Amino acid sequence: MTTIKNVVLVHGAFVDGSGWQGVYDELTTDGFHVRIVQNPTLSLDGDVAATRRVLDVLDGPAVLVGHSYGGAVISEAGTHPNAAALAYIAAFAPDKGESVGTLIADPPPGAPVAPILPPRDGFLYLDRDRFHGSFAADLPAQLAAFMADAQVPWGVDALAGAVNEPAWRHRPSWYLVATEDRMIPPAAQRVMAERAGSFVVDAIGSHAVYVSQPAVVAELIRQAAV
Amino acid sequence: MVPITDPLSFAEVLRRHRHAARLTLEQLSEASGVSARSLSNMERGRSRGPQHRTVTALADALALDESARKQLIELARDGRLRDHWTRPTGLCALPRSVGDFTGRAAELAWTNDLVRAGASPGAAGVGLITGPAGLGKTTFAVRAAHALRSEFPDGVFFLDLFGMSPHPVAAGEALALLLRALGVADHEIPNDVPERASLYRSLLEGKRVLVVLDNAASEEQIRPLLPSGSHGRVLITSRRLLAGLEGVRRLSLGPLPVAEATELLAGIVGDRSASDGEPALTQLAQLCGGLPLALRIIGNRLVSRPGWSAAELVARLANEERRLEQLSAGDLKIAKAFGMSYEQLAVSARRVFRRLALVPGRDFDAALAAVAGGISAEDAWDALDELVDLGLLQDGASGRYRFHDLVRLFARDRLQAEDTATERDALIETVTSWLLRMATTAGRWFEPAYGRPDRPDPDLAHLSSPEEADHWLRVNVDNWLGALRHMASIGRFAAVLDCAESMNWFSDQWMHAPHWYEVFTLGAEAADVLGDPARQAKQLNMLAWVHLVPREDLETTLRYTAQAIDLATRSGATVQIALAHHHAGGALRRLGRIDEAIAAETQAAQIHKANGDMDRYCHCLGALGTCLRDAGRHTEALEQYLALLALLNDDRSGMTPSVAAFLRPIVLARVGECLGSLGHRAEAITKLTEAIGLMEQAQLPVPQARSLETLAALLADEGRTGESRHAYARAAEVYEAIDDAEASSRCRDLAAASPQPPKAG
Repeated sequence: MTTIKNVVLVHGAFVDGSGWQGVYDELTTDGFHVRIVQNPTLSLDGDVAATRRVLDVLDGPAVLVGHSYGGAVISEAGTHPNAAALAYIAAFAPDKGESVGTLIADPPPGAPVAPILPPRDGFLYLDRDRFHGSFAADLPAQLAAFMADAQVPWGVDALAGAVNEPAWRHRPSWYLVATEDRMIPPAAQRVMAERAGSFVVDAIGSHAVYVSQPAVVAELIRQAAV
Repeated sequence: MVPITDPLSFAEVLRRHRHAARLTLEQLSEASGVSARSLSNMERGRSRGPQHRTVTALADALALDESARKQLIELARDGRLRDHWTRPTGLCALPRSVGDFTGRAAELAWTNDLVRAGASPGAAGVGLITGPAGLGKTTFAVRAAHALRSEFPDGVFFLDLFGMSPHPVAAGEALALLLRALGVADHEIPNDVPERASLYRSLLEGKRVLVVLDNAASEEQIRPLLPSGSHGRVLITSRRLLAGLEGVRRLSLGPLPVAEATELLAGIVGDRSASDGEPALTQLAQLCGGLPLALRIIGNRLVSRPGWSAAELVARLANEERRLEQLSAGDLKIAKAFGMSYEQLAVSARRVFRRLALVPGRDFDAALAAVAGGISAEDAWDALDELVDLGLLQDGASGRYRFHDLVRLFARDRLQAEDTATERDALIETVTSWLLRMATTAGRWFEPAYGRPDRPDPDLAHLSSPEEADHWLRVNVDNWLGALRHMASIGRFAAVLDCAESMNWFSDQWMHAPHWYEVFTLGAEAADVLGDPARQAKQLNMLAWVHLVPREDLETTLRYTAQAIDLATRSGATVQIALAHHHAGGALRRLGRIDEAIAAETQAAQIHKANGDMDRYCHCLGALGTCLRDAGRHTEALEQYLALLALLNDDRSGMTPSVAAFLRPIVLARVGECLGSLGHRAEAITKLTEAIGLMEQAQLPVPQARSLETLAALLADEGRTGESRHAYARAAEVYEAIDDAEASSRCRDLAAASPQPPKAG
């Protein structure tokens, strides 16, 4: 059994790759080569292409990691020959033909609904005032406020982009369920993880678990690399 | 001076000192920093063993002279130990939850969900709490188990699997501990792991129990410990994700959030938190990475060394650049916290601390700490008290101490850095040699020819009775076994062999310990290297015993006896030849190879007789009778037993009187059984009745229970129903007394059965 040395991190909607800093620090200390995709989140195709460009230049197999919407990106890009394993961090894992849009279309009654505002000029935004509570309840208020004000607009084509050939049907996958998530209900995360046959670990954390609990996220990735 | 008749209590002495100093409770509280309420509890004897640092603060405030101070400290120490002794020490009992447990509400909700959701089909109800060292996994699991207690009317069990030690508890050993906790007697615990696991599962079937498996090492260790039923629940803690376990829900535990970490720290430092100020405590909590272990150690450091403020400690921690080679990056934060406490220790306490890292076992007492530290037991007590105060050691039951795994790693790192290789080697030599000599001396207590050693080495701890020797060997088993392994690995074979030999008799006393195979294998290998075939044969005979009696692996027994006979024959060790034949006879008889068994026992008997060893000769004659009886040759068996009985009744036989007295009732009962089998029921009843009386006097409950059952059956066959019922009832009682529940209930049922007509034949 060869151990995977590369890790590629794909961020989700409304944020950029800098949120991975804590996970990056953990993994590079252990000797992993870590690359962070700065996917523009304009369209699924564009983000998949950005991810594949990073995978193309790797010297060997990688764990491909996606947070939130990044899960849809890795589900499509993960059939790349250098993607040896997938790790979903409170992420979407669409099946063939599904998009994030179809997955969140029908929230179960009583489940928290993400405070996404109606599209403006083809872009979606998170309600600034509800960002802290919905996206990052376990981060300090000041950091959450910064993230809310620095949010990256999310293209409607990214939301609508459907997965053609889900990589989790071809690769082993790991899934970290954030139990206090108010963006993607934990129950929905569990259903997607089960469908993908993922190895599941729970963490007490908000949707921003990759920022608030970098050690826990890094541990799951280490496990996926064995 | 008042003559002291009764030993004074801590409460009384404290009150006298306070009165002598003319202080009110409030004034003493002011002067010592100990709350008035705690003082009042101490003086009323409600808190008999306050912490060391509390006592020294009181002694300072009362300005006690040296001897009064010493007395007060010792009384408190006794009180603490007595508290340990009187603590509920049920097998696999759930430890107490820490009083200042803080936060983790969402995690507790998770375990709560696990317990309830487990009832749905497909969910196994097994939860794994995972995460790196120092996160408080155990503390959390214990807390969760206490919170869930009422859901489990059939019990909550807790077992430490020592997953991070070099020798984690093996699955079979863990099962034995759990079975014992579930009320299974030692002799009813099956030998092999699958059988133990199936007994365990059947006992838990349909029961609502919670099993907490703490600090698990591997999937292999855990798998047999998971109950199969739908009512049992399991909480596992492990530093590993144990990815190979299926049907398990996993929770990756994170550090405490800053607010909760600060709250925990503020709780530990108590009254000081006001003067230290929230911002400094928050910074300190952040520097500790929200890790409860680091927070506890830093908090204890603040309380026990009041000279420094939290702000000063923050500055020190932030500047800390100590290299800690063996610790991974994630553990560094904790290690820095340890360093703060370590540096505050006196030079001697530091030395004891880092040297204790070399103790081979899981825990140790003050005597072993004294040896490791090269100090008196008195000084060791003081050092241990200080280390416990600082949270660098945990004091467990009955005066034994242990490290948290990470603290031990830190201590080892300090040892590596501060002591030279020569010093370390000398220390290992001192500790292992002491442990091995202690074990050998303790083991010899049980050897008829040795008994209490006349002049034990002056540096050894004092053992004054077989009970103390037995206790020492049991609680220190992983220490002396570790020493034995070490000595074998560096080629100190004479010491290894001496120690293994010293266990020949004690092993019989602690038959079900899992270590004997290793001990006697090391002994046999040592004798082989030393070129001593006679002593090697002796060890091989012990290995034959291990496989014949506790393990019941008969084919392996025969392999060892064959080797033992070969080596003993070459060296003319006739006693060992005979013992090997005797063990072989026992194995052959149970394998149903009766003729070979008779031949083996006959050879053994002849050799013992030629050697004039009448005790062993008679044992072999008894075994021959058993062979004949098993073969259904009752007439020959009867002759054999009668001849033996005549020998036992002969004062001039040359037997040791106590051995003869021990065998007499047993052989008499066998005579009775044979007579019964041959149809001489009346005579059989007379002999058995006599034998049972003798067994009662000699307190031999195991054969007595069996004989009572046989007698009851014979009485029933004779139509003496009332007497039969009485004998069955008595048999049930005796079986119960020896923890054989199955036989007991069988006899009780027979006693209750309605009178039956005599059976034919």
